[in-house]
Amino acid sequence: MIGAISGAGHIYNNLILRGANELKENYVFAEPEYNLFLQFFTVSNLFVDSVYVQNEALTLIDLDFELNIIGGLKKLTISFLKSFSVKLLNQMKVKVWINNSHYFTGLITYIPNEDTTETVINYEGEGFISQLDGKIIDLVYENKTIVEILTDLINVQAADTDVIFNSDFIDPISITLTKFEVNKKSIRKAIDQLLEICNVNFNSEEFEYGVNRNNIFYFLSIDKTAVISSYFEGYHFQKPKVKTSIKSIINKIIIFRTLEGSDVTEEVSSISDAVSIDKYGLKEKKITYSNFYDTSTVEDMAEFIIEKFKNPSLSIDIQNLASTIYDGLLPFGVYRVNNKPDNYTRLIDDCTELAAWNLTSISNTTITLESYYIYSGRKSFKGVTAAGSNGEYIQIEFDPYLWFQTGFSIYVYQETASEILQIEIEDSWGAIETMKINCVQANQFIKYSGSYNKYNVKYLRIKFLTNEVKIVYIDRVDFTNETWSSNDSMLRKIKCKIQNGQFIYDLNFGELEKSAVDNLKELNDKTADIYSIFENV
Amino acid sequence: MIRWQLLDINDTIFQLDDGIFLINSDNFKIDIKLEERTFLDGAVFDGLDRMASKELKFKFNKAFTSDSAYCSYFNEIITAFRSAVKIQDIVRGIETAIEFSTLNIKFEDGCFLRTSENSISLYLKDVYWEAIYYNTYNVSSSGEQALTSGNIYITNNGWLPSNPIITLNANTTAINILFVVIQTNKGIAVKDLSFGAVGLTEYIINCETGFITLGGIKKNENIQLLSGPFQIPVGNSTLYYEIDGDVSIEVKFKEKAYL
Repeated sequence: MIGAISGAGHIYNNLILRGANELKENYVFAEPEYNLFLQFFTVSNLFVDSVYVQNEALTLIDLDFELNIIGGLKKLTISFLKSFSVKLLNQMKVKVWINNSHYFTGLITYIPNEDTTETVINYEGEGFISQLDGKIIDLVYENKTIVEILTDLINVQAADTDVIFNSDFIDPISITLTKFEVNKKSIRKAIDQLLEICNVNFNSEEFEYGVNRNNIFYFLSIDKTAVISSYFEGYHFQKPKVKTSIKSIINKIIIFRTLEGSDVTEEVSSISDAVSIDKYGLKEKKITYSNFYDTSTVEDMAEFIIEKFKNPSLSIDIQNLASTIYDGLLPFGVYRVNNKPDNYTRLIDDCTELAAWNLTSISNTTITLESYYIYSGRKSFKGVTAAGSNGEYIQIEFDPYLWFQTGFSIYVYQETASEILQIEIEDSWGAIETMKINCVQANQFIKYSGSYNKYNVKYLRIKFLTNEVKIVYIDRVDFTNETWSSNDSMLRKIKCKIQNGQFIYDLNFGELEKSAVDNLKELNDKTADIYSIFENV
Repeated sequence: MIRWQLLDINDTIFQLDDGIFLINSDNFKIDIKLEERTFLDGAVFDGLDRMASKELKFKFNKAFTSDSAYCSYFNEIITAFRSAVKIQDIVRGIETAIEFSTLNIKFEDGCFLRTSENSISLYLKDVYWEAIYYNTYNVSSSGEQALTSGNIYITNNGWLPSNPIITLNANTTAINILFVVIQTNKGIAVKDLSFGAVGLTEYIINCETGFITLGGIKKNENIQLLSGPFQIPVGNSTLYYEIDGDVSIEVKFKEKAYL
């Protein structure tokens, strides 16, 4: 033992203690800067042993843990010197206190061999959510709200586990399911499916679930419209891995069904998103519903899946982000991750859809989507001017503003060499930078660029300068800047260790759960009412 | 003359050349290693500058007439170096963050614990030395104005860009904050609905740590998209500020140098 107590009431710095069940009743400490307290209990909650370390002695124990937005505490690793002689067994419970706050309770699931010659012993554990993995149920819920189903799943079906239900830890979800079948699936799988239903408004809200430090099951809403914090490369982390992948894109679903009472499948319908296909190519997926009732509602479900997966997935991994223990653990939610300032080109619009543009200031000019003359993607804007077009414009408003911009570029194809377009960049103070597009070579796409120093950009306008009939194709607008490259992204996975009084994080942002499609596909409701939830997404 | 001193985490001073190191003696030597590693492994961003950390090595000879005096001396300096977090050059008024790396002792033949050639290596945690004291610029609050805006003309006589710390004290609510260096078009925009409320009158934009705080609470979520910590360039520059409320402003920074 290191730094052993030599008498009650003494003040010890940097010490490690063993055997205290309730610390404050037994010992008096110097006020530590940071401390770690591990309590171990039997399956029947009898106290077994404990370890307390503070300040520099914290280096004698390694505590690593992993948290997922879906499921909470996934893995817990405790390493300490064999000489501590702490004897743990599988299924023992461990309570983890950091700076006198109770953070986790876990189950020991891996112990080293007794005859190990290693001087450092590693124990592994997991969260109590794992107990719901091992409980298979076969149930049908009819006309129940999701809260009522969760209540039954935890209170009744999981009654013989350590997981406790408390309605205070369930965010109200006003969805009633006509029929929700759980056919020989684990309780965890049923909760995963309910989670996918609750994530129906995934652009503004997502849910997390798990089992907290007091073994209470939680199922809580996360607001995706607010940024929790902002971190900067070079200040808070180094070398982030930023990946934008089109692998996960689904923009067309071919729906099959299995005929009742037979193994024969038949094609029912197909749903697709033309804009996504234009941008990223066809990414098709076949989904077979083994048990469905109504075609239109299954189509709603397929539309929801496409809505969720039609765009590339952004994934950001950052390592060794340090945060003082006093700040507590990072909560799950949306963070702004800023890559180092550099010369960045930011795609403002690839001109495959008009949705971002305000067209209210054109009445004589016609703007349509064109798929023949294109520079990038699958579409471009075709503008046809006429009498009265001079001064008309289309516009994008940036909210929030784009800060610290230095230039733009636009690709234009004109059928006649003339000066018929003007680009206007306006900031929040109303100051406007203008650049006329002077086309000297017709019938080819030409890149036009402009540079300026704008503190911010509020509006981008493409203005028409002629009353004559002219045809122009516009494709791809980029802005350039030399400032931070910012991405708002959902924190989904946390790996953490404690070092020098700090939480040291490896964080994963943004990556969508690949199981989402399967969880949605396997919702088994012959009445099909469950699918109508997704009707208006 | 005392030139070098170590500071521990509590700013306790340990003066190296106050009878410990004889800086001006012929046997004393300082090596400094600086690496440009922009495109190599190990390069990191320190704030906005990308370089590898440096090493500072002191080489010196020592001779004692007794074992106990020798051991006492080295125990003292090892203790000091291991607890030190900063080294200061008082003559030039600069300091840098350090971490103890190695102590090598090579005894003269037949002089164990009496006479030795020694070297102490320190990791320099930053790629620069910086002034011990801040350069400070102030803009006073001028009453109940709805908008505080203008230019602060700054001279940075260092050799590297510096990271400013900006402190705002509000007399009214002030939701939008903008600071931008006109010459670089880089700066920070902050939007905070709470600034200026009771007990929330001090905003600190710390471009050394990359955090902003309101009343001591971190508020990085209020930094606007594409804006963030920025630097004061070397030479003369103009810092434009615009805050939609009545505030006083203090801008301070430490000049930096490679050596």
